[in-house]
Amino acid sequence: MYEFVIKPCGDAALLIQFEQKIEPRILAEVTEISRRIDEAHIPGVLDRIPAYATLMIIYDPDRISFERLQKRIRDLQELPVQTESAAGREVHIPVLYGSPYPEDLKHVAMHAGLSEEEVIGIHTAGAYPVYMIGFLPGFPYLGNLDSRIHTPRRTRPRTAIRAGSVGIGGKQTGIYPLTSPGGWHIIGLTPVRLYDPSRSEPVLLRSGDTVHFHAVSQAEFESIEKSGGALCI
Amino acid sequence: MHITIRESGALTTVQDAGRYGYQGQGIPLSGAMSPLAMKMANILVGNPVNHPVIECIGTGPEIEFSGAVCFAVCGGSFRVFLNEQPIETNRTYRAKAADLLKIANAPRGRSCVIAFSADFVLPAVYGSWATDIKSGLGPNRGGKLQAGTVIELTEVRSTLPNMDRRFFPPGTPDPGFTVLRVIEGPNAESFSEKGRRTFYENAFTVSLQSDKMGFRLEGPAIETVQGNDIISSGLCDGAIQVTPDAPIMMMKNHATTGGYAVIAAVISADFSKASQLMPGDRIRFRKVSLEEAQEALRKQNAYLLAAEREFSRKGILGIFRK
Repeated sequence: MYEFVIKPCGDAALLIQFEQKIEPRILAEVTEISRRIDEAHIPGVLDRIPAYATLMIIYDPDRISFERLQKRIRDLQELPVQTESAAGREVHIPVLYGSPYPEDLKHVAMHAGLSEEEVIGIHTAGAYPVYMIGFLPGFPYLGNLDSRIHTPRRTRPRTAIRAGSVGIGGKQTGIYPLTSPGGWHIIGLTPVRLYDPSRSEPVLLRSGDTVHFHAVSQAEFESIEKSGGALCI
Repeated sequence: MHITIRESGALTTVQDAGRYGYQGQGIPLSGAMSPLAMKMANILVGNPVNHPVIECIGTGPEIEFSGAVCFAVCGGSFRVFLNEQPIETNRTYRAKAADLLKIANAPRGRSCVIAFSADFVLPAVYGSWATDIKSGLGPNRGGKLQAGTVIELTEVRSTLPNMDRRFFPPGTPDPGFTVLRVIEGPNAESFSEKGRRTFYENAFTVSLQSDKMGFRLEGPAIETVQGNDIISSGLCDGAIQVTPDAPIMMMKNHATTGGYAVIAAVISADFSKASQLMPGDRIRFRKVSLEEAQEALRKQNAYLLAAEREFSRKGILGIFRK
């Protein structure tokens, strides 16, 4: 594995820090060490928060010390890299483009000097790796947005963006899992529920998955919404 | 038997130690704002330390009992009444049928918890009884306990041994500002030498913009080397993120990740004290080593353990004589 440093964050959490870059190879390392720690079932480890280039471990200092946990992580780092790593899933997200804020799609198109259809074409052509989940329950940080449709955030953020909104903010694209304030341009709406506390698995996406967007009609949107916004992967 | 919420109070919820295991999916930890208050209240009524409790922030609720059960209120110095008679916090009481417990406002402190010598008949959600209103998670569908809510109690212990001994003595007087011990954060190198000195050598004031997610701190600007942004990374309780506007101290319902440099993190032994700070309170930060943090937590745990032994011990003399 690549080199990382381990730093305390208070006395009940530690941060595993890789080289601070947004790159697939670093994300793969974060995912791998996170998986190894999960499978090691280290007593006292309570939670893991994988991000772009760090992994935060929350632990119970009454059950394991920083020094001991650090040693366990270093031992796991030494393990040989397995040839087959668990592949992420391909997730297809249906989107009703131009809804519920048609002016935002218009703005993105104008900013890019393209037609709205071209923006939709570019957005649906991409394959977007989920780098991490954070900020809100189930909110995916997606990479790889085509530079032609990068759009600076709105100067005045909305106070409430509807759950399921698909947006572009600067170089990023993402989906709001629940109603939230936000400054991204909303180019479409998905009926799929990224976060649903009534499901046994509340959060749909995981880091390592790849997201594809495809355009649907109003009728298709309603039919998926009626079926509960579930998605078969 | 059951308890009935007669008046809801400002923000009354069911909490426990928090919902561990889902932060990697963006679901906040949540849980009792003051883990120490939760542990003390549970010890007072003979429960495991992380047993579910009712938490009150701001003015508390009015709760009616349908039968006998023991309870204790711990946390901020709330004014508490049983059948309109003032009672103490940090002490175990026995309620009987038709008794009315009222938690009024607090002259000092932000939250308190009520522990009962019983189990709530409420479902755990993803392994926890913690309530997070924003993500809609918790035993009451992620919501506040509203007036009219009835909570069934089971495994009720209507009396406990050594009732006269079940109290914690009053704490030390308020020094006017609170010193919080911190460990240097994982992004300390994002700050200049001058910036770090600013952080450790000045007092900060808790802003009005402070809630269960985090406390915004007002004070002098903290100089960075190359800006406050980092590549988004995980956060934990007590982590102090420095945004270009102000430092923000993460509380129980903090977002799981953040994009600003973490200069320091409050140690576990001081986190509960920090959670009780109110807008206008002044604080300073003192840097300690990881070893000092571990020692402080050991001391706190030893104190709780001694109390637990004392409350359940057979015999006459107590260590907490008045």
